[in-house]
Amino acid sequence: MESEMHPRPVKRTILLAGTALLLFLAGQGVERLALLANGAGYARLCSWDCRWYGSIVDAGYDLEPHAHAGGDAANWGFFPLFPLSARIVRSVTGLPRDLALVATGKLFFLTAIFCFILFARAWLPECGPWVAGSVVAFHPYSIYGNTGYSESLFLTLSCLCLYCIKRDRYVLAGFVGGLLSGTRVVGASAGLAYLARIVRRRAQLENPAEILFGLCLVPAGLAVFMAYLHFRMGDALAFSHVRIAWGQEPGNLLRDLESVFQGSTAAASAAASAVVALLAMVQLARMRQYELLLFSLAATGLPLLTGLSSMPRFVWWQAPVLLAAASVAARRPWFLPLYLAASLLVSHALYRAWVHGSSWVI
Amino acid sequence: MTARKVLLLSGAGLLLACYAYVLYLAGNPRVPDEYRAYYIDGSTAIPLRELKRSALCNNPYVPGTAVGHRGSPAAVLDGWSVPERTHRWSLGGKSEIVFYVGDAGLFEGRLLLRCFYFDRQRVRVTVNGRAIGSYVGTGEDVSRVLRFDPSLLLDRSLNRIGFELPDARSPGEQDRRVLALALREVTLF
Repeated sequence: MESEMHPRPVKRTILLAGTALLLFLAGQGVERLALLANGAGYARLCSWDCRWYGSIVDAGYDLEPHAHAGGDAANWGFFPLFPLSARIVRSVTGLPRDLALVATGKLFFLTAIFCFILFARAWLPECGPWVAGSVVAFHPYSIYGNTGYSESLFLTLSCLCLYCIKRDRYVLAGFVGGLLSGTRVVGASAGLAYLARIVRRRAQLENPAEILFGLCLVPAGLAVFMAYLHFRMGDALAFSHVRIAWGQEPGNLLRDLESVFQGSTAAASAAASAVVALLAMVQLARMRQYELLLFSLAATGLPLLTGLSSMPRFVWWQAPVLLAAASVAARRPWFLPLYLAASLLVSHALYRAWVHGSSWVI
Repeated sequence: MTARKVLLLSGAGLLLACYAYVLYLAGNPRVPDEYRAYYIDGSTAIPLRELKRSALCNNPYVPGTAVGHRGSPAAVLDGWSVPERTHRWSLGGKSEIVFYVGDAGLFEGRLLLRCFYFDRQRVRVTVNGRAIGSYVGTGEDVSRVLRFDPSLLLDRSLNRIGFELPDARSPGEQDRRVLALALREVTLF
């Protein structure tokens, strides 16, 4: 009787994985309907940044800038772990490049749902796996998990890293944090969550050498990428410098806020996401989850420094933001149906814009 | 202190030393002046393509030097897609290669083109706007030699090799780029 109520770890993990798989398949069903409604196939999904990742899969990082009207754009801003994974998927499955990227994103979307359920169990035990999984599988900007972008890998790794931090498994947290910082620059935010955890647990810490080593591992992915860029094309900070080609320069925030009031869809969508991030941070503070709050603060604040562009991707694929949503869903029964309905509407609009090539969804 | 502790502390020290080295690299980029001015110092807002064209004057094209699909310090590729593993696709109906000629008298008037084509393509090659050859290219990889009058090249000026590609088209839903000619290498003699 006891073992039925509290299944053993392996059985429990299989159950959670099954939950994640069912939710993922349901999400894929919704996506299929959106694609059918817009008369598009899977290959059409690889657009915008997916193409940039494709250029890395094909030929590695550019030696010089070459794209956009001013010839100043290059693929240096796209971190290596996702295209590396896509290259492996392509060589194993034999899929064409674009489909391999889309398949890799989807594969990580599945792992992201599973890892988020684990992460939510650690940080918010009162939240059941179905609620936690639904918040990820059907979130409004789930399109980025299906279109050959790195968001789903980022969510997978951030959930794992924050899970390990909560379980005080510092070396493993540092190792996953290292992978995270090789996925996106904001992945290094995991270091702040790590530090906050150490401060919170300072009285119970037993192995400072392990903790220090774990912390030092977090920026490893970023450092390897920087060194690679230096030896490849001469500038270790090219990933940051090249943002100028996308108009992302420090001080753009005010200009972007102006666009919100001028009725720009992209700016309005980005501003709404920034507000969601703010509300999530308030919720995390109320929950006293300061580790997650710091992660969210850095992962939202860093991109905000250069303006509102791509804000939905930075906000909606952050584990702490989704956890804040799950915490409301766990306590307020009306929230989840409302969240799912709103997500479906936003998702429908996004797929429509995506398939028709509207650039505000990039 | 246990061996495990020593190992962990040594690992942390090694990582910190590596990070210090990476920070040193970040502070000492090895980039051309126009890159530094545009991306790092922000001391110019002139589009990089223009800056690169200006910089070509300091890097005259030497006859016999191959310009590969990844580009070259002595040439600017206009109207081309991103470099792929072995080639770079033309984008749209017209693509160009711009280079600076210091002394036109050094050229004998031969253009060696290594490329392949998307399906069947009519190609018109020009030097500074004057046609030097027209042909129909098909899928296979070819090396083609085109002869031209070296007097078409302008002394101490920027020169252009143009590819006019009226049959350029998109392969379909999987790739919406408008493609025609996949460049591997071009060499002028």
